[in-house]
Amino acid sequence: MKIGIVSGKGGAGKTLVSVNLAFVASKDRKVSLYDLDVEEPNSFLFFDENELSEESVSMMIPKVEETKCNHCGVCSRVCEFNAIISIGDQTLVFPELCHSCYACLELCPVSAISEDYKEIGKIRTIVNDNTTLIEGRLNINETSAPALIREVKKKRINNIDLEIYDSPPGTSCSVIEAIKDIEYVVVVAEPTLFGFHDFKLIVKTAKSLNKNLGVIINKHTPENKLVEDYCLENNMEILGRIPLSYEIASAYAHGKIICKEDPELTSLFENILDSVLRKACEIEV
Amino acid sequence: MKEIVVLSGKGGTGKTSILAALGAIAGKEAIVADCDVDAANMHLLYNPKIETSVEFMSGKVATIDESKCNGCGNCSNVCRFDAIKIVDGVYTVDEVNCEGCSLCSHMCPENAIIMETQKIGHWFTSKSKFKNWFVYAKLGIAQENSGKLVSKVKSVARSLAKEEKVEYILIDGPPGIGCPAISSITGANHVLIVTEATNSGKHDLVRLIGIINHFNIHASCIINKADLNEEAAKEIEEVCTQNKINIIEKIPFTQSFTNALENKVTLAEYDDYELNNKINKIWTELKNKEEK
Repeated sequence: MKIGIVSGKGGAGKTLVSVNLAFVASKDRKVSLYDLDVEEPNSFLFFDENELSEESVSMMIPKVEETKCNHCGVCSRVCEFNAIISIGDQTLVFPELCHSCYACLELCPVSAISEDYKEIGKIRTIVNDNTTLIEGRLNINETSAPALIREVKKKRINNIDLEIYDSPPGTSCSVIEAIKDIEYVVVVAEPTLFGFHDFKLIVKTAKSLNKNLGVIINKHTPENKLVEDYCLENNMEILGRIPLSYEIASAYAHGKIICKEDPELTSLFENILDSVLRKACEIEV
Repeated sequence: MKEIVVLSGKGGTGKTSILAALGAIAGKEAIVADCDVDAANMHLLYNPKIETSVEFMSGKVATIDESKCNGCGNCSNVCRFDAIKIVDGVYTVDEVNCEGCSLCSHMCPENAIIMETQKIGHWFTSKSKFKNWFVYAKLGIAQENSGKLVSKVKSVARSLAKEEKVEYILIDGPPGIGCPAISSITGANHVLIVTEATNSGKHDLVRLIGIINHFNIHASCIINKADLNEEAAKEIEEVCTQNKINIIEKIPFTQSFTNALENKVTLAEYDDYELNNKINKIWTELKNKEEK
């Protein structure tokens, strides 16, 4: 079973929820946690790095063979991303704009273009008891976050009971790539003016992708009903409420799994997990 | 014209709250631009009166004309994005997966595939309640290509600044360090980093500094929530010193950020004397830096 944790707004508590859900779930299950926030992956900060493996992820970029190229300019005309440009007797490749679509390779009339590769990032795997963290880490100055996310998701671990996708912030390319093939989306909502605005955007995004979803309210105070009322009006289930607290913020700031610190929070997350699993199962059936 | 962009790496550090307050103090001295187009928020505090609203087109999506399709499957075979599948016996484009590369349309022997440019959102020029120009955008639901929309917002802000002879452009950037963040940093004169004293904040800051150094742009830093993890705060200071980044302010963890939002006012307007002072000081320091 795959569940995705999203929020729209950054800093709403995606990683907090992801690592704590993974922690309570791993007590009697095998869990894999995918850190798909490849621009700024943080989940590993909550793990001991005792077993770590790393692999490189590359994407294809075109390479022009000067001796074969007749400078006809077809590659330049077919590329939708301006990643290959033919000027006079020169054909230049701009790797940072390339989407690896192979159009130039396939359509070059004299087969002068071949495959080359550039590294865009790394996949790191960390095993802690029952939990395996699979992290995507985009190289600095790389723009191809969605391409890396695609590769991280392909990495499968055997005999896993629950897969959790810690997704990137925002509502665009990267988060869509992260959640497009999961079964159930958990939206972490922050009931502030900004948080609520972005919450509505990500809910619409998830719904437009036909996802079933539930909501966790983070930084919750009893008097603030923004998210609460919206969920009620729109018939969305609230899976749990994490209270606004300096202690939680501080534990998070120190890279601690808050459930390890506080038994009340453990039962809160156990309840959240039960609701998530129940909902996700209903969908599978 | 001086372009100052606020970035953080990690989301939720207080970027938008701080930039909105700086824009409020600057008034007509600055044009304010919200480049976090995925999740634009600043308009909620600026009560913008919209002057122009323009549809933004970018990126393509394939559609297959069923009446022309001979079912050869070339399109599906060449697609690297798994975007063309057989649904109910006909080749169909999965719009979410389609990258817009047009390879399928070139390979189709029947010319049955049309590439259509997408309406991905709108951008706006407006006057804010602080009497300055405010440029922002809204990305359509589940639309992609946000980096291109960021570039558009920036170029609109620049031409406005030229026309109106405004000295500063203040830009609210997106979280992360990928495509939209790089779009918003390109061509800027100064990066104002808003980080937070957490392990995550520090980790993400180090990666952000990698981008800033690559573009060789001057930067200064504000440590928000500075008392949450004092050790992290100290390490952030060390990283900044090593990279010649000035720490211009430290702000302790305070409910004022949330309370101000609840009242729909910027930190400059909110009744917190100490915080008002800090914001004023940040703006003065930024201006001094740019004059040097």
